[in-house]
Amino acid sequence: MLDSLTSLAELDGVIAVTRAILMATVGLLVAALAARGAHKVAFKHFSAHHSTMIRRLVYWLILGLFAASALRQLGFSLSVLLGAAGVLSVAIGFASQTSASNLISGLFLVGERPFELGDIIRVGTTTGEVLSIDLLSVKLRTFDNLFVRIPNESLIKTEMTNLTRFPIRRFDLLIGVAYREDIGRVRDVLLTVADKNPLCLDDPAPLFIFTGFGESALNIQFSVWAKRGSFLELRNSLQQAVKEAFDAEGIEIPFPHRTLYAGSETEPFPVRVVAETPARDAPTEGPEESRPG
Amino acid sequence: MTETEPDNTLKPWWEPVDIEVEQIRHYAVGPVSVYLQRRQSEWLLAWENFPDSEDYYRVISEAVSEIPQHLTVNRYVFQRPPTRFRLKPRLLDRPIVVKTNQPVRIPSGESITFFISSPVCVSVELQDPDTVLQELDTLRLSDTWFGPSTRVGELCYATKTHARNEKSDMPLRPHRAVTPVNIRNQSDAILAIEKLSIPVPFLRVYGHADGTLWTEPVSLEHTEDNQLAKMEIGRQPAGAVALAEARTPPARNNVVRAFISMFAE
Repeated sequence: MLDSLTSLAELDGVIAVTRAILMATVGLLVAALAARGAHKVAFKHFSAHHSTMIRRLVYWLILGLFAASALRQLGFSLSVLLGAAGVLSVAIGFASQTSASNLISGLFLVGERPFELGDIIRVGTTTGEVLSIDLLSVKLRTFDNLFVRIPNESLIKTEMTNLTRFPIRRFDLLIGVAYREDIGRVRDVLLTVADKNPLCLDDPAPLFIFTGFGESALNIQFSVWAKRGSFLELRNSLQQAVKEAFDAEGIEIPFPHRTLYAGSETEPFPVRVVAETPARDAPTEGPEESRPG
Repeated sequence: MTETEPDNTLKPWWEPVDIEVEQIRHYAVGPVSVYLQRRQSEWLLAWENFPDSEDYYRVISEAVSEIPQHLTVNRYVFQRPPTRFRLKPRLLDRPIVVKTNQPVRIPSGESITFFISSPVCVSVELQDPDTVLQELDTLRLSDTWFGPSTRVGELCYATKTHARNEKSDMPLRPHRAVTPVNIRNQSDAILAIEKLSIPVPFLRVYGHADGTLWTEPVSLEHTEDNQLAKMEIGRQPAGAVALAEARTPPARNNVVRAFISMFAE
């Protein structure tokens, strides 16, 4: 009698475990299929980023339900588990403060949508393409092919620039010309350079701003617009063309000038004029003359 | 290579041509020169652009002995290479914003037709089986933005026009397709036009026997409120042969949107 009861209980246990395993397996399968289906449907209607989020959400929700049922099969009471989780959550909450903060920031980021997958963003000194936007962090690929993980919390806190949100961009060329140059002529030369460059947009028109009188140069800002994709190419070709045009027109881009003033009380600076004689003749006489007679 | 005085009278350059093995052909359509050679199992293609405006009237079709050394030669390898090729004009892939050289004003109630030409691409194609080898720009036009703000609008190409209103005034160039643009001013005020967007991706190219290229006429109606510039694409020019389909099938909404800000200037 006892033996048969024990064997029955063992059989029950085996059945329960089998059921739990079966349930977990089915759960994995169903979750994967449902997530894929949801992703397909969502992809048509939402952005790549949101459909990826929906896929993950569906996957983990379905898997969670099946896992809970499997635990029930094994005899765990869900209410006890949840109760224990409630007590634990206080402790976990303290321990996982950073993660929780990142998680909440992640939710805000998803809602605010400052960038999408594939956008190029700049955070601090890091510029790169957004590879994924996850609950805890955003992953970037920089242009030198490094993988950078930026916690969501710091993204929310700091300034972030999205370089690819709008289809056209402006390039500001800051340049100085010598004081003797004619600003009107410089302006014409710059505008001609922009007009000849096919990457430089005709409209919005290039902008010429005379920003002021610098220490050694007249400062100029010349701003031209370009298609987002050809920004880098424009920056190179424009600067090269400006240098070439200035050289051709004889417009000087000055180096910093320094004037030394010795004060009104001092004698003028001695200036030595070097005659165009062979260098070897000069030094032999100097020391002779300077000797006291 | 033969050094003959170029004959610049316009003639159709888009007819298919059979070419023998090892034969080299040189074609010049305005500023672009194309060299094609058929070999046993491949075609060679090289091209170059001549930016000087005096080359804009060239139409050359000749057999040459070699492809110039300084050009990069592209190889297209086939198991059984086609024997026939064709150069085909195609309009550009973005609308063209033309600025008038002088401001043009149309008084109330007037209707006027301007002839505006835009450069075409030369598509180098082989026949049987049909293969597009390359599309060559004859002129590289400057990019421009056409829209109410730097956030909303579309990328276009920019060029300038004399806005000629006599057909006979048009200089005939082999690499430009002419679009007759009819503008009717139905409002009470004078209509000033400084810029005009020609939606070339929606137009077809037609060729005349005299070697000129045309597109369908485009007509625009300007009414009292600026936002409703009604645009229509007209019928195929009489006596012309369709050479290339429109890049984008005309969708009424797209076309109208492209034109709306023309009058808002």
